[in-house]
Amino acid sequence: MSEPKHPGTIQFVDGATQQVTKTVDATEVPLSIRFAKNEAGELVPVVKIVAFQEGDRRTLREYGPEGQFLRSTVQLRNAPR
Amino acid sequence: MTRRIGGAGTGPSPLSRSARTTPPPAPKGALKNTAATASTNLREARYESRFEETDAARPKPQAEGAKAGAKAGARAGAKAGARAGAAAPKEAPKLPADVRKTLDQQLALHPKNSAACKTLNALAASPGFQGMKEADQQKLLKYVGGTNLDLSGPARSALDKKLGSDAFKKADAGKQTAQLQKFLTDQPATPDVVAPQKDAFKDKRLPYKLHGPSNVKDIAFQGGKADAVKYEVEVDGKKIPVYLPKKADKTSTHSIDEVAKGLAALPKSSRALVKEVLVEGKPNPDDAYWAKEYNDPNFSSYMTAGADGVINVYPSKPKQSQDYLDGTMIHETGHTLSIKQWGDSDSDKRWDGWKAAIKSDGIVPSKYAKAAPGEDFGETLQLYQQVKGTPKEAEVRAMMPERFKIIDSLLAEKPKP
Repeated sequence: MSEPKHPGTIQFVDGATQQVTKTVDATEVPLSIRFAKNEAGELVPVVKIVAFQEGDRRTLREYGPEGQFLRSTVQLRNAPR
Repeated sequence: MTRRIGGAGTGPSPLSRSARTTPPPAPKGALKNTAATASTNLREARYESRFEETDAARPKPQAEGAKAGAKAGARAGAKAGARAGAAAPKEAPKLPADVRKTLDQQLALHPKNSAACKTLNALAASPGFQGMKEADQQKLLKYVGGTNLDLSGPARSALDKKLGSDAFKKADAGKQTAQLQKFLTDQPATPDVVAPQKDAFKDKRLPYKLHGPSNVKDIAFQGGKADAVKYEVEVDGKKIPVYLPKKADKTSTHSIDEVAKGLAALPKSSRALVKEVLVEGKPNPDDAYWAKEYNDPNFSSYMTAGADGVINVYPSKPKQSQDYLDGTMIHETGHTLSIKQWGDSDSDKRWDGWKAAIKSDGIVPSKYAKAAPGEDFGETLQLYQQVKGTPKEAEVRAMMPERFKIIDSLLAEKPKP
């Protein structure tokens, strides 16, 4: 599936404060993060990533150009070795 | 091959029977890795017994409404406190009748727990509590008075510490009230996340059938294309394709049965949104980017739920428990469910009802829930599903009545296509 044109930048947002922590050039981000599928299964550009973290869990929520939700990933802190 | 696995209403399942009989010998290698075994045991221990063991001795609920009922309740509550060895206050605290009734109901929940009764009596007797608004008195009593060990137990311990502190004891009534209000707002003992309750869905999940497996080529896993094994999990008439790697590390990768159980534990409205599940054999390749971005290499992806209805489940070491898988699937697909209902952004007007319910209820299911209304929905839905239909539903519902009402009606609706 070919990727559509990306608007150019991706905003990173701290979910707790809703503040934009940085804005990066989309080309600096791996392709698998730069695009995600919408409800219809079409690839669309990711333009905003909101991170929520509490204790050992972090959620990353990715949104498209129209503000549409695309993907939510839960990450866990690795068990100590 | 089609396998049918029993669920609620189908009698004991082969799985539950085997769980009650002599366990099978440990797989080869399981005993070799003692560190991993110990770690898993520790992880499991967190999920044991999330409520006080008091059901058998619990007094009957108090009659509602009439003053006589309230008086009878007061006597029963005081008796419960006395049985538990807690000193009741010499003078009955000056409380509104409904608050008095709630206090008695909460005391009656702890017939064998003198410490709990002592804390509740000390709270009620404090001038600071008596100066609180009636609605906040009710919230605080329901919050610290329950038998659940996730929210009420830790909250009661923290409150006990506060009541015994010089800062509280030496404060005048107004300052005590301010401290109690802050305690109710901050909820300092709230757990980071909703903890999975051991076997919460064991008897509640729907029956499911497994169709397959079949071999399929070039499946687009997140870690790259690979040949896979495909099953279809049929729950409540809906078939969901599940792809697993051909060669999987069983110590870190969920099995088809575990994934099927997770799907069978979802609310129908959430399950309707799932189109397929990819059980990844390798970690999420994006983890390296996130580690650099957040300057912390110690996080790994566990699950992704997309707007397209695809769920990716990544390996975890030690492998997460069935309870954790169930809870995370409910939480993550809950995002898709709430977004479909109320919009992508929680600044959308359609989220106003949920936001008003959060404010009205006051009590949060976890610290994580405070991050955003969407996270609050995911956490509350997980807690709702865990207690729904159990003897503990009433006390948790009493802490979050407005949000539970919204979830009641949301899950009663016909799932949206």
